[in-house]
Amino acid sequence: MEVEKDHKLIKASLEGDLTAFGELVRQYENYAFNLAMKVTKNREEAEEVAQDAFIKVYKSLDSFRFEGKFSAWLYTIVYRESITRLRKRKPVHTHTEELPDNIYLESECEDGIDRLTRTNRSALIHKALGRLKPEEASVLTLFYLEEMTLKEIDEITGMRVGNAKVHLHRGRKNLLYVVQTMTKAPLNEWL
Amino acid sequence: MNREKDILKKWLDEAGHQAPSPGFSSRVLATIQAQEAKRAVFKPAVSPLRVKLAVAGIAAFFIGIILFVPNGNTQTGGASDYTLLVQNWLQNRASDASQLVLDGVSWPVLTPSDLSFNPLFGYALLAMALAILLKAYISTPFRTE
Repeated sequence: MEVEKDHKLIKASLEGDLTAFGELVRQYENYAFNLAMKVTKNREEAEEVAQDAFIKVYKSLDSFRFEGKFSAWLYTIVYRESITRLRKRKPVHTHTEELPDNIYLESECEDGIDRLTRTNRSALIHKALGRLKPEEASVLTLFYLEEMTLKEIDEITGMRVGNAKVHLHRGRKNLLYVVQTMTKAPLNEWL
Repeated sequence: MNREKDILKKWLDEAGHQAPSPGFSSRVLATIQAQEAKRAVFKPAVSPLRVKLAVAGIAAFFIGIILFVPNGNTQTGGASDYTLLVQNWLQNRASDASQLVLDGVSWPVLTPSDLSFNPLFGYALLAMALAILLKAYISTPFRTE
């Protein structure tokens, strides 16, 4: 099981095995970076945040409670580091506005999202998520991609379950709107 | 609503995770190693805490000897000179206290023979103090180069 494997690696790391901790980092680097990107919306900052989070995790490994999932604990630290970093700089206006999408052929955009190639579709979704508010983008990521419950999202982000529901609902609406805007096709073509 | 949810789930699953630049995990480990090495270099040979514990232990030992080890004087019942000083001081305070009488309350009457240090009690206290200090010394975490 994934959880048991993580616990084994954590125990080895606590005994001073840095290789075991390296394995943990490799396993979760994409998850940590992805969440940091949803909040900071900047690659360099997201990498710094993810790195700082892993270092914090290493230093406080002895406080990890083996009843819980390592991923949830890591996400909590990543999210808080991201929010702290975000508060230190001027907030970037992320809500819906027209951005040039030079990577897509005009004909592909006109035919809607399903006609896009997989690579372009993925790039479009990441771009669309980047235009949402940090709270909405992170809740959508944690809910759909990491398949977390609203209660787990509450524990990670510190938002109450009610707030998380609101961000989830708005995030869904806004993501669909942004995707529609970017592909210049009406929603009911794929709903 | 369900269909909408499925589509978003499908899109996000397909989009997957964005990845950091190559070598990310190596950089994290290198930073941790550098921080660990930096911490170890500046540690003193003996930590300040252990110095304090050692001094406290030695002081407790010598104070115990001064107070509790008999000085061979049979007239004073074998008590050390310093013990006699402390006993006299306590006896004086006790006699002052016994002069006080509050309405409805009377202080216990203390006589000089009531006040004496039991050497065995002193040894037991000293042994406990040394045991606590030794335990603290052993359990104090400390890294060396």
